[in-house]
Amino acid sequence: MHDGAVAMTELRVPGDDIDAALNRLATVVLSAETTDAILSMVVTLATSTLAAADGASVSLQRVDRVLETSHATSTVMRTLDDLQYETGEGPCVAAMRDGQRHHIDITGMKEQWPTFTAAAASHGVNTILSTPLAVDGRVSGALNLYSNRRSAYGPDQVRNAQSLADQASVVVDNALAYSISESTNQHLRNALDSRTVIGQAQGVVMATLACGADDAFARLRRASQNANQKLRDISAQVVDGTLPANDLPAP
Amino acid sequence: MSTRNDLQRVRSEVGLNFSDLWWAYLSLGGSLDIGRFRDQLSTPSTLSTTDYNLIAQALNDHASHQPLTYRTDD
Repeated sequence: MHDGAVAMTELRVPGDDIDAALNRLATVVLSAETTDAILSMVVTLATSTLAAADGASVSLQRVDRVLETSHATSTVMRTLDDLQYETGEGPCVAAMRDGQRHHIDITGMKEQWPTFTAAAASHGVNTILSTPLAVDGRVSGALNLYSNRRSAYGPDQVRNAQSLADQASVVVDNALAYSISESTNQHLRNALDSRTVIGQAQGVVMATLACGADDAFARLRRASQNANQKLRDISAQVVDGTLPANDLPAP
Repeated sequence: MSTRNDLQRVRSEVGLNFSDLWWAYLSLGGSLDIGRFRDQLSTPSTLSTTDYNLIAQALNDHASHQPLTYRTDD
C-alpha cells in the first residue's frame, strides 16, 4: 500500500464538509506526501465529500502527450476514461483539450459522443463533471466525477469540485517540475560521465603521442568517423586499452 | 565544407530536438550555455570552429552514417 494510506484514513470527513476536507488536504500538500498519495486522496475526497459523485478519477496528460488515468475509485471509471482516450469522445478529453469544465448529462450528448455515452449508460452512469487541472493556463489533466443520477451536480458541488481540482493541479504541476528536474539531473550526470571519459582519452593520446589537446581530440574524432562509432565509445576504448592510442589515425 | 544550414538539416534528419542536441554538444565538451547555443546555431558565421565541430560530432554520433564533415579552421 502506498504512503497515503494512513493519511487517507485521517482525511475522511463526515458528510459534505468540503472545507474541512480541503483544509486537511492543504496540510498534506505542504508535508512530504508523495504525488501518488495526494492524488489518491483527491479522488477519495471527491467521492466522500460530494454526495452525488459515485466515482471519481484523475486523468493526466504525460509529457509525451499520451493520456492516462493515474487514479480512480473503481475499474468502471478507468474503463470509461480509457474509452475516451481511445475514441477522443467524452467530457474528460474535452476538458483537457479546451481547458474548460464539461458538465454533461449523457442523454444530451448521444449524437456528439455516441460510443462514450453508450458505454457510460451500460455502466449506469448518467452525469459526468470533468474539471480541468490547470496552472497558469497549462492544462495537465482533469478531475472526473461520475454519477448515476441525472442532473447530479448543483452549483455548490461544481464549485467544490473546482476546489479539489485546484489542489490537484498544484500537485500535478509540482510533480511535472520535479520530473523535469530529475530529467535535467540525469542529462547532467550523462554529460559529466561523457566529458570525463573523453578527457581521459585525450590525456592518454597526448601522453602516448606527445601531442597537444586539440590534436588528440582530432585523432579521436577521426577514429570515431572511420569506425562510425560515437566519440564517447571510441574514447572509452582508448582509456581501457582496447584501442591503443598508437593505432589512432592522424587527424 | 558543411554550412550551418547543414547542421539544422541533419538535426532534423536524425530526429534530435534542440534541447537534446545541446545536451549532446555539452557531453562532448561544449561550453556554450543553451541561450548562446541557440543564438549561434541560428545565426550565420558566429560559431567557432571548435563549437561547430562539436555540434557536427554530436550529430554524427546520432546518425546512421556520419554525414557532416568537420571544419579545419576559423
